[in-house]
Amino acid sequence: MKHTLLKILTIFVPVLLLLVALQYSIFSVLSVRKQYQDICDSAENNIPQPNEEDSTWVQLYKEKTWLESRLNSAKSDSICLSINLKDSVIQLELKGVVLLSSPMITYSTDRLLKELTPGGYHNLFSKEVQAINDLSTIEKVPLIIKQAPKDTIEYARQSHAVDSLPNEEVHWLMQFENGIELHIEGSDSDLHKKIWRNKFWQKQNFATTLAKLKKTLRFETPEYHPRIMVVISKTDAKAIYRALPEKPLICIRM
Amino acid sequence: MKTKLLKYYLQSLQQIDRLKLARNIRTPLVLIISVLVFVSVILFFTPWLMNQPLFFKTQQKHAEQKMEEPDATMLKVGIVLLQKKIDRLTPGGVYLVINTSDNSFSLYKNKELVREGACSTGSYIKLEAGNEKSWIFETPKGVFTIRGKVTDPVWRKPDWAFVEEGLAVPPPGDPSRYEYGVLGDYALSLGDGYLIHGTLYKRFLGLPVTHGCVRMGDDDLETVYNTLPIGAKVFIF
Repeated sequence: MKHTLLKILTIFVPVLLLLVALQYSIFSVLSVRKQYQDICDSAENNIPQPNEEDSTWVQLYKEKTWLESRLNSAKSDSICLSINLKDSVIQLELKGVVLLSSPMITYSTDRLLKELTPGGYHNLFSKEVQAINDLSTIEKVPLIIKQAPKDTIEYARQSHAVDSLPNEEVHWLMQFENGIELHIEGSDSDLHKKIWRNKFWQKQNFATTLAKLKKTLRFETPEYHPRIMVVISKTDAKAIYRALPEKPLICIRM
Repeated sequence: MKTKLLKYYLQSLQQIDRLKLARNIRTPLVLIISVLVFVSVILFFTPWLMNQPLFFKTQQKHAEQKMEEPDATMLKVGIVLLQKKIDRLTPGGVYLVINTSDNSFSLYKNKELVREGACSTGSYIKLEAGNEKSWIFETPKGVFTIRGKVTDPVWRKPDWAFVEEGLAVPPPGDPSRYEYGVLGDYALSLGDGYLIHGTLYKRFLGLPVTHGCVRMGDDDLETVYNTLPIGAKVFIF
């Protein structure tokens, strides 16, 4: 009896796991295809589709939309973020003035963003987008609560020395209204391959995978958010995150 | 196909038997391998699969209606005009940029960086007094203009300066509210009581230690004072 049960378990569990994994893979691929279709199909019809994928016209079109979106965001009174993947620069801008320009140490994007048609590109990047939420290892406002001393004796007892800034890990991500996720890694290291293997990103990946797995088990296509992953210096990553308002405007140039 | 796979799988199990592995080891071993395969598919294989160009290439054929490359002349003209518009947004004269996170400043003249250095900005301390009053020592962010410039500034101490030291708050205009020589040789007003001024505590330059004002070293302050006229823009982020 026990032997039969073990045999069933040995066959049933691996087959079940294999089926679930297969289901997960199929639905994940479907989610990417669906997103791609949605982006490219909802694009305006009057955007020409030149034969060459990387034609001069497409490049100029990208440049024009990039400048237009930056000009539009300059009308806002808030600090905006410009992500120029073509020149590998990330900039903080206020009223069109560049406040901080940080060179990217390295970056990568999901394949979907590389394979966009001009129409799809127009749909995603022709206008500035708004960030809808963010997550970070550092606080937006690093408030320190201090109780006022009752008298001068208590004041003398308090510590007032500030010798250095805390050495914090700086990783943050932002999700934009067009579904794109921006992952920023603050690092001064040149070990690029190991950069994304820290606790913060692993935790995010695990949470995303789990949510996707739950959806696929219900036979639903999970949400797919194309990612832009950028590594910049830790100081700049911190400065940019803290300078940006709650829901900043973002301009992207691929 | 499925039957073949199952057969192959059962054969593999028999092979394990043939290797004389104890039966009680076989089940956990198979389960561990299955879990490892499952995790690998979820964490590595699927993300890799999702990034394969194959899926997009197939779809592009349907999505695109290919055509000859359109004329790019109008685009080129448009880009030149837009670039000019963007360039015009940056002040042509002098302006100051202050980074409150890094506690540094950059002074620009004719769109060129002429000086940069360390400064001190708000400490982000929230001082809570017993009477439900509180103050946040934060340097405001945004665009400001130089509203006034003074030499040998005198500090008129606000209430929080007394509360912070555990002292009784004196009435307005009381002589104890005025302190001389602590703000350096110059001060530039940004409005709402915020100043760019000097400091006695030069070792704290580069650190967030102020009550909201921007402190600079003597030489930097002198340059900034002499370069920025009233009305010049100050960008704080």
